[in-house]
Parts: sequence; structure tokens; C-alpha cells
Amino acid sequence: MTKKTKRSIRWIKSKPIKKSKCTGIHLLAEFWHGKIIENPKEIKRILITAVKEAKNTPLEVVIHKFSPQGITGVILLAESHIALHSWPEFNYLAIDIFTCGEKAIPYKALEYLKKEFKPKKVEIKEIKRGKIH
Amino acid sequence: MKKIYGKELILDLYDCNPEIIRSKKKILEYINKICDLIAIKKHGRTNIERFGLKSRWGEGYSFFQFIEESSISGHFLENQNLVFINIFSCKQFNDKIANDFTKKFFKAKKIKNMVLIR
Repeated sequence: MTKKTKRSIRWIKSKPIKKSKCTGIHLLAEFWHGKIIENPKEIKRILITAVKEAKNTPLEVVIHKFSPQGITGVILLAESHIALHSWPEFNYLAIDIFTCGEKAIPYKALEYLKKEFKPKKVEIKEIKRGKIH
Repeated sequence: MKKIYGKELILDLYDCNPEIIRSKKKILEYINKICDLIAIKKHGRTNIERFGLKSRWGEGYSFFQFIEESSISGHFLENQNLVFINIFSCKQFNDKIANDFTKKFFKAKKIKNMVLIR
């Protein structure tokens, strides 16, 4: 019987688990009963700060105030976008944080937005976009 | 019962036609056609720019179009022929028609879609 030594033992590597990479992460968040912010300058400031928190590169901000109420703000990024749509009449805010790139941290942007809007209820869905197999 | 504010259609299109996704004119054409097709009204000009010059993910156009009912956005990754489209509307729209038209327009070989009720 062969004596097992370190050299005789063959280390069999298990097959690597195929991790599906993706091009981007898309967070869809719903905020209910939070702070109502209708000032476009304030929304712009919040979006720019959120982008910096997520370590993304802000490129262009577009804000539109609806009549009689409601605001949509979007910030285009080098890595995709962050958008928010408010329905103050229902105390509801829909947020999309779509970021690509290894350095982007979309959850940091989300945490910052939670701090600003202080929603009483939050629901989040994470979607992996552009899966690379 | 949860109140419904709108519907978001999320599309990932793979292996798209390289010429179409690199054409600003074609992308603007897409936006006009999809809005007409699913009867959503554009609001204001389309914000479309070429981004990603220093990005590892490469260059490509990104657009954002306000619609009266919310927004449509798109991101085009040219080096992968990959397109991401999001249509969020608080007005009911036919997501199957939007899905099929988008795939046909960009000549995608594969499309992954998700419909979210928000």
C-alpha cells in the first residue's frame, strides 16, 4: 500500500462555479410617506450628492416639475442614470438607480436618498442587467 | 390592497445591430416610434448624449425622454452591442407590443424583459 505523502496526494480542484457577471445593477425603490420635496434646485442637489455617494460620474441633470404637483428628476451618468418620480398626492416616490462599472455602489446612493426623503416604508428590487455568461 | 402607480418595462437587448445602436438619428427615430406605438406622450426634448469615453464599458449613447406619464431611458453599450431600455409609465401601455417593437427595431438576437408594477 502506497504511503500517502503530501506529494502523492492529488488535490482535485472542484469545478469552478460559474458566476454570472452582469454589466450593471438596477435598483428599483419605492418610498412611501416620506418628505415631500418639490423644489427643483433641491432635487438637483440631492441627485448630485447621491451620485457622488455611489462613486459614479454625474454628467447631466434634468428636472421637470409637473402641474399641479409632482416632480421627475434624472441625472445621466457616465455609467447610466438615477431617476426619481414623485406623486405627492399619494405620498409616493419611485426611484431608479441604474449603475454600471465595478466601482459603482448603487446601495450607497439609495441609503443617501433614504436619509434625505425619510420614507416610512421602503421596498427595493434589485435587477442584474446585461448578464454575461 | 397595494395602490398601483404605474408599470415599468425593463428590456435588455443582446447582439443588436451595430449600425443602428451607433446612430443618434436611429435612436431618436426609435423614441418617436415607440411613443406613438404605445400611445404615450413625449414631453420636452429628448436628452441624448454620447458617454463613456473614459469608461471601461466603452462608448455609447444614453438618452432620457420625459413623457407626460413618467419617462423612457436607454443606454447603448457599443462594444458589446448591448442595449438597456426602461419604459416607466403611469398610464397603461401594451408591454408586449413595446417589447416586440424594440427587439425588431434594434435587430436584437436576444431580449430579456421584465415588467414591474409599481
